[in-house]
Amino acid sequence: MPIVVNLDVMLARRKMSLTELSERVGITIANLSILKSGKAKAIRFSTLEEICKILDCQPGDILEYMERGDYNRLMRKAG
Amino acid sequence: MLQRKWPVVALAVSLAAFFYFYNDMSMKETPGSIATSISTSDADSSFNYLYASLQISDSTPYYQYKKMADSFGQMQTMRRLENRSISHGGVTYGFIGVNRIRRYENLHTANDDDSSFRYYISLGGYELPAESFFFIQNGTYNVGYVSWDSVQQYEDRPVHMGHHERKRIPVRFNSEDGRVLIPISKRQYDAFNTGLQATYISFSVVMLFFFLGLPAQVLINISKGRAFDLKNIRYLNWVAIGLLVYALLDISAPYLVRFYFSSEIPSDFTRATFWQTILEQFWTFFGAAAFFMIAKAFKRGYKLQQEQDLTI
Repeated sequence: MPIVVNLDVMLARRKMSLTELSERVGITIANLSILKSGKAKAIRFSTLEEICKILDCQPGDILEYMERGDYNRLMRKAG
Repeated sequence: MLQRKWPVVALAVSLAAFFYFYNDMSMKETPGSIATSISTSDADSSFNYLYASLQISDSTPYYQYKKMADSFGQMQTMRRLENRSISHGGVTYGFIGVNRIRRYENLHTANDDDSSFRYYISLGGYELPAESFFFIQNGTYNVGYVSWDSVQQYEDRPVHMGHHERKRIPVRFNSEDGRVLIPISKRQYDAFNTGLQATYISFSVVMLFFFLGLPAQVLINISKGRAFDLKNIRYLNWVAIGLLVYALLDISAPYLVRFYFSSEIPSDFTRATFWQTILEQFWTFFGAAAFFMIAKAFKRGYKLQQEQDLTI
């Protein structure tokens, strides 16, 4: 889907690891990995709220909308 | 709005089609009453004494009359028994089978030699018109039918006048089971017997797998918490396809076999119409449709579960 999750970008900016984020937010590393890799189908507002609180950012910093063509190119590059 | 009304429309169309075809078949099966008068002589031996009665003069002593009456009664019983063409062995699977029938002279014997029997392939689902009948005479197979002569007026209503005629046919007939019996040799009987049993066993195994094994596997998967699984969806689709294939085979196979034996079976014998055959399989088609719909529901459930699982 054309919504890209830039979680790794925010983690790098805040110099935080995925493990630390998972411990502080209360979500398993497996679920965070699903979110980071773009395989997630949906995210609860409560989860987004917790992530934004821990990373001190806005939802728009983590979630980005892309056109379908650009998204497919990005996925091909990542794959 | 249209999507919400779709199941109701589909249900209404299905019910209407069912009742239309059911009503159409019922009307064809119940002809209107027509007054008829068919004459056949009591002494007529043309139909193997089927309509005959014992002719005895008044001067016949009682003991002699009793002897003749018993003998005549026994002969009539034997003839009727032979005409019924009851099987004394063989196998029947649905519309096709192989049968062996005792020869007339062996009807009341316990002799089980091959020579004591006649052998046949039997094809089911046949019937003779109401006024026609099958009988055996001197080892030949015959059909008695009505030949209509004239229409006469009797008390202000028409009466069709006719008489029985006969013709020889190459096949035997069991009117109780509606089976046409095509004569074959002992060797052909053994070959068909083996082939039919092997086919039946294979077919039964396949049917058990599709209609018992797969649904059982689906239930087992559900009990293990894997309800909306791709495997379950695949199995449910297979069950639906299996039912559909079974219904189509059950409709087409008798027609194919009949076509193969068309030169043997006289046109006097009639079968159910094509639409009647389709109607007989209504519940099988309904079952296939039901399984397809359940598979669709499970597929939707699978997608919802995926979304739920991948909701963080």
